[in-house]
Amino acid sequence: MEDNVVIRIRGLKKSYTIVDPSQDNGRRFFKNRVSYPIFDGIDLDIKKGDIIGILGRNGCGKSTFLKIVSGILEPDEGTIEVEGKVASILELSMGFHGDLSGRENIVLRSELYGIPRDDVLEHLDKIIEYTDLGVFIDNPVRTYSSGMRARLAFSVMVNVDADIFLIDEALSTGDMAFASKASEHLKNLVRSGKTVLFTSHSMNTIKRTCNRAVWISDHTIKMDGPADEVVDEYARSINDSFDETLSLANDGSSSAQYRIATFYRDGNGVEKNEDEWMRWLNEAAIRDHPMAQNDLADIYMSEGKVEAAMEMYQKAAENGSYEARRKYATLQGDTMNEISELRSILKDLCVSGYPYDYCNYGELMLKSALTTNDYKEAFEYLTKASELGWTDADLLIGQMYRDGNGVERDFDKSISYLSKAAENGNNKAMYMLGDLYSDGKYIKKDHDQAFKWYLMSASIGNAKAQYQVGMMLSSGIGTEKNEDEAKKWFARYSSTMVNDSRKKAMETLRIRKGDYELSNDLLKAMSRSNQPGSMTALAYKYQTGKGFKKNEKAAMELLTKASVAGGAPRLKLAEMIESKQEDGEYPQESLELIKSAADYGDAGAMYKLAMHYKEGRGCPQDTDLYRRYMRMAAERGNKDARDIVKGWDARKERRKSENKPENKGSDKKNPEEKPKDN
Amino acid sequence: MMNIFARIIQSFKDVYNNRAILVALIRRNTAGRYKSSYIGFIWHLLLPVMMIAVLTITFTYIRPRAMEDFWIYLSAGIFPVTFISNCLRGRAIVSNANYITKMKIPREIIVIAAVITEFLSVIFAYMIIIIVILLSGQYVNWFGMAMLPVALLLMFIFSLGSAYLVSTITVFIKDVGYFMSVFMRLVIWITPTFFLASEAKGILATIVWCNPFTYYVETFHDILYYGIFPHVEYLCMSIILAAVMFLIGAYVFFRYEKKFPEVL
Repeated sequence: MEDNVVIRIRGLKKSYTIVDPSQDNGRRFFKNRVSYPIFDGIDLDIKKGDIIGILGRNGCGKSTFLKIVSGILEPDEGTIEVEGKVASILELSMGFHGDLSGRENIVLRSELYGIPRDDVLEHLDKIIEYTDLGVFIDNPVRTYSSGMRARLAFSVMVNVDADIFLIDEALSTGDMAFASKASEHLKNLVRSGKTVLFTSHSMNTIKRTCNRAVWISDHTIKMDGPADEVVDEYARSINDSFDETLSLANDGSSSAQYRIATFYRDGNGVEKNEDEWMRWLNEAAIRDHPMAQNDLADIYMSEGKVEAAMEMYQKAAENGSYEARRKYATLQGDTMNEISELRSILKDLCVSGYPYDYCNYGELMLKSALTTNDYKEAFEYLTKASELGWTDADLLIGQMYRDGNGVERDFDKSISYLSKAAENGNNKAMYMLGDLYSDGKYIKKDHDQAFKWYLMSASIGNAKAQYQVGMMLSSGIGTEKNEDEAKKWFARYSSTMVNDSRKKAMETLRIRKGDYELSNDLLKAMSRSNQPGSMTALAYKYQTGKGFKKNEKAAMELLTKASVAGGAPRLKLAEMIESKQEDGEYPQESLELIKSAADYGDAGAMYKLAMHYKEGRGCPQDTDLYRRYMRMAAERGNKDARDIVKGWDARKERRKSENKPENKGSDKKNPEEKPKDN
Repeated sequence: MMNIFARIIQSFKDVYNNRAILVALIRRNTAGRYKSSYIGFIWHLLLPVMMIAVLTITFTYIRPRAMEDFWIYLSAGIFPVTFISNCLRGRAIVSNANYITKMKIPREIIVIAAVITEFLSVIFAYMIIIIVILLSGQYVNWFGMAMLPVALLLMFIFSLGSAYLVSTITVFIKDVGYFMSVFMRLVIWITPTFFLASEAKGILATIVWCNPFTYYVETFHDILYYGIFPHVEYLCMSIILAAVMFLIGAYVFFRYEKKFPEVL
């Protein structure tokens, strides 16, 4: 066949007869049988040198598929062309005679695989050595463990000469050393031009060993492609599907039980059912699933059963839940009073209506949450902050959606919130997005997206992201392969790792020794690793010519780079653009930058923005917004803003004391001030 | 309808090409049988000797028969009958399901290996009987003795055919296998092994002569006990029965063998 294709399957159909499921056959003497399709039209080409993993749930037809390829079963319809000698190792312990010794069984089995007896006897010592069975080789096989049998069987296979190997569940038994030996052997086979097809439930084995994977589901090939992509997609489908998870849960997998519990809680793929939710949560908690124990404790807590909750938190903490650890410590350490005091302080501050305050309170609630209601409250306040454009709040909401804290898990929403935060320059959000896309555990793997976010995060100095970008560049995942670029990013990564020390060195040099030159060199090095703070500082120096030759262009470039990070660099960039603009209109670009810096929480930007609104520079005059931003800037500690706000307050006090009945007019103008007046 | 003769010839070729596997399977069956005992392979020879000894003692001292050298009559019949009835139990495919479902080999090899394994014990037993006959200086008709391999071969073909038939049916209807293991005990009693065919009278005689086993067993009695050239009518019946049984068995087997891996 052309193109090195050794197995060509076209329109393969196969069905089995099974007991008619629609009738109550359990009690019937003669059971009606109906035809059940296993494969309904499969097309597949397998090339020479492929090592293919076949994935699918139990009973999806993996073994049937191998049997059809090997010729044991015949298809009902369709054609299979196979070129070369096929060795089917469909069951490792097949053909062993329990009473015969390991040695005798090697000979017997080899003969069954068509190896001449003389050849076997000649290589016997080598085969026995490969089995690693040592002194047990002359004992009857019935005394062997299943792992030993697998080893025996596999070592026979090593000697089988064929072009195509079909192996069913072969690598799942045996200890780790043997499994890696076996998978190494498979790779060797492929290197020598053989083709291997094998089924396994171990996704790691398939990822490690295969170059291609085929996922069989619903009577057909659901996915066919590079092994890790198919495995990830398959893993996710199992995570998301209610039925698959339920069957895993029934088998006693605690993580599946926990997932089932959340399905019932959220009504995801099944009708909401509180009893079932509690039942599965309990099941999972009994099996020491930390998240289930934590959730259960939360429920106890909201029911007021503090002692039971404490016990559960402790268990969850022992099983590695940080959240439970925190909650347990809070309850144990009697810090609840402290926390509730802090809560009430921050909540009071929220009357200001500033996103900053909403976000602070929301974050506290999130961090100190003990019950689902706490989470809900945190979510509510963070949403308020986010609606007012507060970036930090977007990040936290994104996290809540991702973890399903206080809200139903929703990865789409999580992504959109995180993207919003990331686009406004939040480094944590960028990195988190990169992780989500490259991990593929929750959402569809998308290397391009992952690369985009990692790159953004890396370009403003996130060390981990720089490493990831380097890795992706060097292996060509999500981007074109580029070794040189990769090296650059690795260099940045390593230099970012030592930046803290560099900063200290720089400060010490400048303060103690007055060595500006060396200190400036260090600053340059730091900005090379894309740390936005250093870049801004350096840009400032270039702009003003302090310690450097004045170089506006370089300053501009540095700021543009740093401005990804939001906040101060954007403000500085806006100022530079503004200063360059000689006359006429105020540059809108500049205003936008200031706005986004203010949203990011930069007090200087808020002050500046307020002034813009006051003077109507580049935007219409707006007293409300002016006052609001001015107050926000003051809250965040901008000195100028504080002076102005103090002036307002003093005036107001004065007016209040002078003519009390006439202060309504100012109230209407400044709604935020209302509570303070009362 | 498939061409059964072409299929049988094809089958011969397949089996010949895979003879190494056939030998391996027979070796597995025989070598494995007494493996965990101390004397191992010797049991293959010792068991027929002990069997003959037990029959001789029983019918000489416990239930004496007036016939001279009755032990030869008994052992000439009991081993073939046991062989045929073992083949007709129909467990060959079912008990080797693993090979059918997991290996790409000509499926008839499994049945052939099982029948040959059983056949070997007849050969061993007959070797011992012949040695004892020669040692005790009995009269031997060498023309008759020359027909022994032919008679054995005919019996082998008949048994192989019936093994094909019954083991195929047993794959689809397991009940047949259990029924046959009991039914075969009855067949042994209506075959002239412990009695003479001429002793059967009336309805019993009809039943005995309707039993196909009788013709094979009587041929062996002629050769080994009576020391004559076997009756030609027995030989003819043996040939006809073997041919018919083999054709029916092979037809059924090759017609349904493709379904084995799905049903097993």
